[in-house]
Amino acid sequence: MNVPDFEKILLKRASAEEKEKFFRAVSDDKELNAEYIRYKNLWAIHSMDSNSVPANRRKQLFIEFRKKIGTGTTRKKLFVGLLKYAAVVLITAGVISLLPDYTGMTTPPPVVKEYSTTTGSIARILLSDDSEIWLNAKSRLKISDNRDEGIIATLDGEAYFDIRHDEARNFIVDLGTIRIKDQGTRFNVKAFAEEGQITATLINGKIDIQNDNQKKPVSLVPGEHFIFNKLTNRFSLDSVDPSLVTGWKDGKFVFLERNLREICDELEQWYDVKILIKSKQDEKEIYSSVMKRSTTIKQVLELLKLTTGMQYRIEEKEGGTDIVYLY
Amino acid sequence: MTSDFNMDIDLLKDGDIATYEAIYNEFFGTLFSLCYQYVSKAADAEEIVQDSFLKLWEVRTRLNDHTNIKNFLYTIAKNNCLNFIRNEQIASFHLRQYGDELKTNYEALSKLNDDFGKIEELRTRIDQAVDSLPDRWKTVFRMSRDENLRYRDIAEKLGISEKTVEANITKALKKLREDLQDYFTLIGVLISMVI
Repeated sequence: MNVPDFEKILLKRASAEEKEKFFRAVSDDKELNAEYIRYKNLWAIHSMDSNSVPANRRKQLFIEFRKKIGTGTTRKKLFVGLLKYAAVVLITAGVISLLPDYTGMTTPPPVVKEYSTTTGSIARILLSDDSEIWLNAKSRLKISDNRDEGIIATLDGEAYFDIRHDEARNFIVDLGTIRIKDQGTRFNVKAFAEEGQITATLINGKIDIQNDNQKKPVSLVPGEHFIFNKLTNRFSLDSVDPSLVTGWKDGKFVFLERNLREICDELEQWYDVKILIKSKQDEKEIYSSVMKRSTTIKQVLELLKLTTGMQYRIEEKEGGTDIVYLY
Repeated sequence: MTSDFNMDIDLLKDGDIATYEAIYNEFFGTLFSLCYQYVSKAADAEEIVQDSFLKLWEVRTRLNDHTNIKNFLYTIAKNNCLNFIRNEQIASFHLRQYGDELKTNYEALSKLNDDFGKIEELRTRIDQAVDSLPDRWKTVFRMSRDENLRYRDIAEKLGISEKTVEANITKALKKLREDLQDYFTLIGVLISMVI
């Protein structure tokens, strides 16, 4: 391929078709691939420019930056939230070491560790092989490691698994009638005991889901979403935008078509406030939103005001839970 | 304020907004233009760079005298870009058409040097190489990149034909590649010694 083609691509002047043809050719040819990548990175470095963002746009972005780092009375509450998170991480900072090889011993006892999170907090668990598990709020995870069965994680709640695949040992998530086996993966599992369904979403890699009621396991490919109905014992597969499902791990609230009362219930838990909505009608209104959890409650209320026109009043209670009135 | 921001660590730790603003003004654009080469939308590149600065604020109490601020911001931005491309790959996996481009972008970005200092070095060399281009080529090359002018506009401005513009850019890029060939070879040797 000629230099002009590279150049068209790098200067973002190529049409969609030209791009498709070009990148397919690059994919198929190792040498071309290597050459293009060298060029591409050179070009990227060459185009670094501190003035690439106009000054007024940059000013605006900095204002947004300031807003997000937060100022004002609600900052204290934010730190409490962060502290809760930090505390859980500290407790779980101990790494689970995979069992050493007990040759000659009969059956070494399995190593069992339990983790749980409260409302408004997320835990990150590191395994000694660099696998990672994120545990969402109000969730419990038990990890048992024994030589024959491998690592078994029992979950009541929601967790995101990023597991290093190891042929020598199994990693299985046990949810009662369903067992999920990792094949080198990132996946999200939601299995609250009190809820009627279990969902698993595959982000990356491959997982096999074994159902007591089926002979063959179901394999998921990335982007697939497995929903199991505990009452009917039936499951369905769907495709989904994974960032919607794992948004919680990145510290985001994700509300998809939820009514205002449900949204406020979750906000109440995270921000440790009580939210009272004056009109029953308003409670039933449906909204969708994605918000960072680091947003202050005031910012959330402002957003609500902008979107819904609803006014708010915060009544601060010394040493207690603040009350927010929405009307 | 030195260009590697490291004299201001104490101010950063204290959350001195003026210091953050100064670093922001000096470095946001640089990071943005780099990220924009790997994620297709400017808005996404903006958000990724914004996140890097937010992260810097978040961990400010843990900064120490040895922390290289530029490197820190660059590393966060680079990793965010990689994750972003990954998510795009998943979200659009059934739309075959973007798969190859995303894959190549991901590969290219992961090969980008981890050390921002090395990147700045390379940048200097590139600038020198562009400088050594014959005048006509240099002008066309610079106009095309810096001012994002279309070939037609450049041709008009310089009073030459569009074909000539295109030919000049081609030649300039080729010469650029030749000049930096020995640098690539050096990098290649170093990498093979480390692997």
